[in-house]
Amino acid sequence: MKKYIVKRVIGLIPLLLVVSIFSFLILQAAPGSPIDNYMQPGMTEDRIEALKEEYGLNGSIAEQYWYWLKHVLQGDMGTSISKNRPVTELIAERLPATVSLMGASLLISIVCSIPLGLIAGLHKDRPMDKVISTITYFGISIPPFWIAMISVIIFAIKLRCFPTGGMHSLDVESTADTLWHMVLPACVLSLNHTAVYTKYIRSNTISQLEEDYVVTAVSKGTNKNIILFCHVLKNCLLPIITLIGMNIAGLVCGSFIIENIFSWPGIGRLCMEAVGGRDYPVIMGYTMFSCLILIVGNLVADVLYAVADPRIREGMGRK
Amino acid sequence: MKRRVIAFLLAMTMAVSMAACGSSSTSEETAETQTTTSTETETAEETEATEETAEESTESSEGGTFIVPINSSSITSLTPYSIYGSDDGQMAANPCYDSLFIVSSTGTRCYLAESLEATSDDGCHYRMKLTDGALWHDGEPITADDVVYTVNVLLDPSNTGSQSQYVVYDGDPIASVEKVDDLTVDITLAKPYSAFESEFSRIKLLPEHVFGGQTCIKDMTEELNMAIGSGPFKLKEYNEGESIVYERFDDYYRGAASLDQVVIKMMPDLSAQEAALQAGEISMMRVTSQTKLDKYKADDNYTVYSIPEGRLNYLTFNYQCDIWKNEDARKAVCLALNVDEIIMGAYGSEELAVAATNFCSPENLYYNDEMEGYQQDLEEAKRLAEESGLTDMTLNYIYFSARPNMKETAQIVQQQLKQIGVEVNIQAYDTSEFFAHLFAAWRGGKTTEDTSWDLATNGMDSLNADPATKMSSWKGDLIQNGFYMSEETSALWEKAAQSIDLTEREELYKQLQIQMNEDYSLYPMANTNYVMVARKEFKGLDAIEKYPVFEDYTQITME
Repeated sequence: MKKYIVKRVIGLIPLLLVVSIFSFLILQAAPGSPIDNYMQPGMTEDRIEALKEEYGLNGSIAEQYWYWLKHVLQGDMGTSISKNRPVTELIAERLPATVSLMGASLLISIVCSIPLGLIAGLHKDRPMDKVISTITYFGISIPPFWIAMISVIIFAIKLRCFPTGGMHSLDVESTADTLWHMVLPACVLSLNHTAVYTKYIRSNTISQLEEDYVVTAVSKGTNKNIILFCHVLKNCLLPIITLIGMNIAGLVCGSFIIENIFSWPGIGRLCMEAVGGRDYPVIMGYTMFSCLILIVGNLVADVLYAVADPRIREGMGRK
Repeated sequence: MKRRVIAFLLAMTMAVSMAACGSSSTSEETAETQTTTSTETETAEETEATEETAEESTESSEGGTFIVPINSSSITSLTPYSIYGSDDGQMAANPCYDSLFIVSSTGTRCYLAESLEATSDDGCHYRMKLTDGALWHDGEPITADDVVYTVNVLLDPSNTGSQSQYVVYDGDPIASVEKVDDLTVDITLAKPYSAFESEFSRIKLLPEHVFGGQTCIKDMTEELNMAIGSGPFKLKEYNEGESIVYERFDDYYRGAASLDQVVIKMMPDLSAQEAALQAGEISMMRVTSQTKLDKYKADDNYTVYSIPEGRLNYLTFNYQCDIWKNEDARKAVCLALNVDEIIMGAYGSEELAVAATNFCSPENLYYNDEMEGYQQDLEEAKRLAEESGLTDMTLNYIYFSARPNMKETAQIVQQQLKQIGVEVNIQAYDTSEFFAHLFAAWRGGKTTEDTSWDLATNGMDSLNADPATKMSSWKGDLIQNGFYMSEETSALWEKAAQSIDLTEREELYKQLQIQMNEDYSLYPMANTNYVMVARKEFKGLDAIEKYPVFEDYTQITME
């Protein structure tokens, strides 16, 4: 197992390099430049060159990339051109808001999808299954921004149960207040995940219920709930581990749309603003950070999968 | 079996702990990491914090809390110069920083400066007296030293990449600013400049004692975010990416404001702004469509205010394309368009915008209100289009997608030019891409060849009141590669900007407005209004008709 993890970690390095090169090239291909924000009619070419030098934008693309990479290898993700602050500081500042929102939405998804998936699988092709399946289809197909707007209209404007957006009420600094602000965006974000997880768990439940061990347990007169929750559920959740691993990237990278609609001061809004202002260091920092988290998330999922399933573990050992 | 149970538990624990960790510690983490700059009183207030909504706190405050949304996701820093020319940046700084005084077409309004008088006949020497008794938010007096210091900060190119146009006039930096006594400074210009008063007056002073006299302030994050200002509200807290909370400054030299607090909320999504207004979480918002305007006018819970924005939205020609070097081609476009149809079609009514007649707006000094603008003449336009070869080509029209009403304008222009047989392709761009194309003639300190577009709509403000600074949009060797200005116009502009005699200056500027139209340099489209909807309990939002809102927060009250 250790060997496998070390191998995977080493494999990350070229992958990160390739992603960074592609991201850098795409940024360079986009029209406009970060120093456009400083441009004024009548500025001399010398002054503009000095500005470019200050922000490391004066060399060729290869030189600029090397300049960036050199600093990253030293632990310096660069300084935001528009905000004149270290990129790591900006990301760290917004990260708690995003992680809390995305974490809450993931928790809601897991808590809701397990019973829904099990019930649907247990009642395959019966009315209960059809109702749950219809709901999951809606959850998968309805765009989150639409649900977000509808939920704001109903729960914030009409019923006044929740705020329309933001993370804190004015002059209030408490966990309860933050959680209250989080309810709508977290629920909206969780809808899609809940629907996907439910479908996975449902189909796994159906296939597990047909397995020999279930037939044996039933024939031995084991309680139906014990079969379902102690035996079937465990096996159903294995593929969910992979899905959660992949969703970890979303957990820390935020959601551009939902953060905007709910005025949530997360990392997604930071990136959107950076893209508009062609703030290269922030965009690169964000891209690399999300890439790293995605890869690490997948690695963690694979490892957990191996821990949970001896067949995989044995396969790894053979490799 | 045991292992499987452990595996399952591990997987669940991982998911739950990540989520729970995120949610349970949110408040603490956020509180720790958010850049919060507070006054001493804030700590006491924080401990008394109760769980109430923004709306509830608005109602319970004695003088009220006025909450203004801005479209930016965040603010670069809390100084008034962080985002030069950005309306959002200025809106965010207005409660905290006062200008020296404001020159407008309706008169001059004094704030930190009591007077500015010419001390010689050559138009180059002035004496400015500061208002006595004005204090910084930390209690220190505002003095002439702060004026000298702020001018030096604005002249230091290391702050924003170039010297600020507040202190550089037609390419020449201010010659000197010298302290005479604690409340008096003498100012010397390199040459007479008609826009000096309206440009210099807009300076918002910075406290020399806070920055220790250092003129390169861009890396002084801590001092910048202290936001020690001179306005009627002082900084209470700054939540990066979320809000800036200002509280009333009781020692304000013009008398304490009526409101208790002013909050600037960063809300880039316009639909979120509207929802927040309806839920009572913000106090006002801008509307740019007739439908919304009508909706709120019919609702008794809101008051609609319309103030001239001082902005000109115009159609310009890319002079890098050979076709526009032919005056007939430019004239054909100007005569083909019907500005009234554009106003009604793109904006909806004259409440949102009025037809523009020339490159100035009515909020400019020396505005020529006798001009009628271009009159549509389809037959003549068609003839000129055919003769100049416009009908043989397809024109590329670009606009800035985030600016309101530009898309509709482009579509109407496309239809109107079709009437004279000219085909138009429309292309929308985001900020960076649009301005990279539009200003290809001079951005980067050199002309980048760019003939990818033929027509563009853009806007320019009249914050400076005097038309002289508009010269920067057309005048200059590089700019002339992309925008057209005739030699006659250029000479006239130069003369008007340096004219000391006020009557002569006014006459020259009025002639200039006529001359620009005769050159067919651009097609003036709309003078836009800033239409805002406010919750009815707030009054005085239009006491001063000035954009970016609000120039004087002491005028706003809550009933």
